[in-house]
Amino acid sequence: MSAEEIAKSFCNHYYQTFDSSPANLRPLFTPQSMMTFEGNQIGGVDAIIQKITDFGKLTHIIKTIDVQPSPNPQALFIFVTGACKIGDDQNALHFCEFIQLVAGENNSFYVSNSIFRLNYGL
Amino acid sequence: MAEQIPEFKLILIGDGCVEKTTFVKRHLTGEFEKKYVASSGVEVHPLTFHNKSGAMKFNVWDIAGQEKFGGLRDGYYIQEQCAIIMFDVTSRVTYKNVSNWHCDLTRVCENIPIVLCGNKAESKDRKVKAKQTTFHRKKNLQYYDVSAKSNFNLKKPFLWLARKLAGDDASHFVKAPALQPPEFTFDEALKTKHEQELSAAAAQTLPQDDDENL
Repeated sequence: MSAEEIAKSFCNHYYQTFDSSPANLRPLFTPQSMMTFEGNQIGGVDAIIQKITDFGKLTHIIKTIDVQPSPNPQALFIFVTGACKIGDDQNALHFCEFIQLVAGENNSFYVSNSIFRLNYGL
Repeated sequence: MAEQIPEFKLILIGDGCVEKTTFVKRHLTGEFEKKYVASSGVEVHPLTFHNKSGAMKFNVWDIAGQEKFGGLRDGYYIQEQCAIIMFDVTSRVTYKNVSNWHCDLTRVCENIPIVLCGNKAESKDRKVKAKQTTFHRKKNLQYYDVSAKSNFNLKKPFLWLARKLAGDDASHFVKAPALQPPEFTFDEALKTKHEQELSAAAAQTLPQDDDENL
């Protein structure tokens, strides 16, 4: 699979699961994984799962996915932009998210780093 | 030419689940004229009230839920002229977080009138009791129990802010605002009980807490 294909199928799985049952994202994180949401940094699979299950209902709409190889042959850099709706609010907020995906054992990938920001002019 | 009426920017903040949006949507004038500002991620509800000397408009900034991701950026607070901090009287953690919201707000807006509102006052399952609600007294905020669902005290926070902004403590609204009909009837006995508890609590001396250095 090319890097683009990996990134695309990863993102589809990641955001669909995030929106339907975020607790099922657990296998994608390790105790060393880090996530930064709007400037709040959290680390480790338990803290991450806690944070993403606390959001309540979310709907991500992916607009673009860009990918680059890393100097580390096991890793990929992915940059996603899109919109997300919070709860039943119909007003979508634009977001961007950077993800470093690393190949672990058995050719499966995990999220080593993720940085998320909402995009607005304030 | 249309008469210019004074407008004030009002930010409505508080934890994600306290029903801020429900509260602002009860006022029908704002509901028809609301405008979503996509570049800021806020819905602005213009609420007009009429007092003796004329009309005044609050442009209420209702955030779209971005507070769930983390604190609000300073840009939200800049040029705010007044604020409502809301918590849910059935959820202690939302009251605990009031001090964080107040701290964020006053870091940017040093001296604006602020009302603290405890929403869902109609609930029989109240967790934050009147005598525990001391934050507003320490910080000189006004406090009201409100109930968005049963239209209880919807006007009072705005009236208090209007008085502070106009520097006229005697002003009152001469025309009742258009509201959505209540979805829920607030039990009169419960309402009286809360009011008595609130005035009893106001007469108590403030407890010495260790959160003075907030």
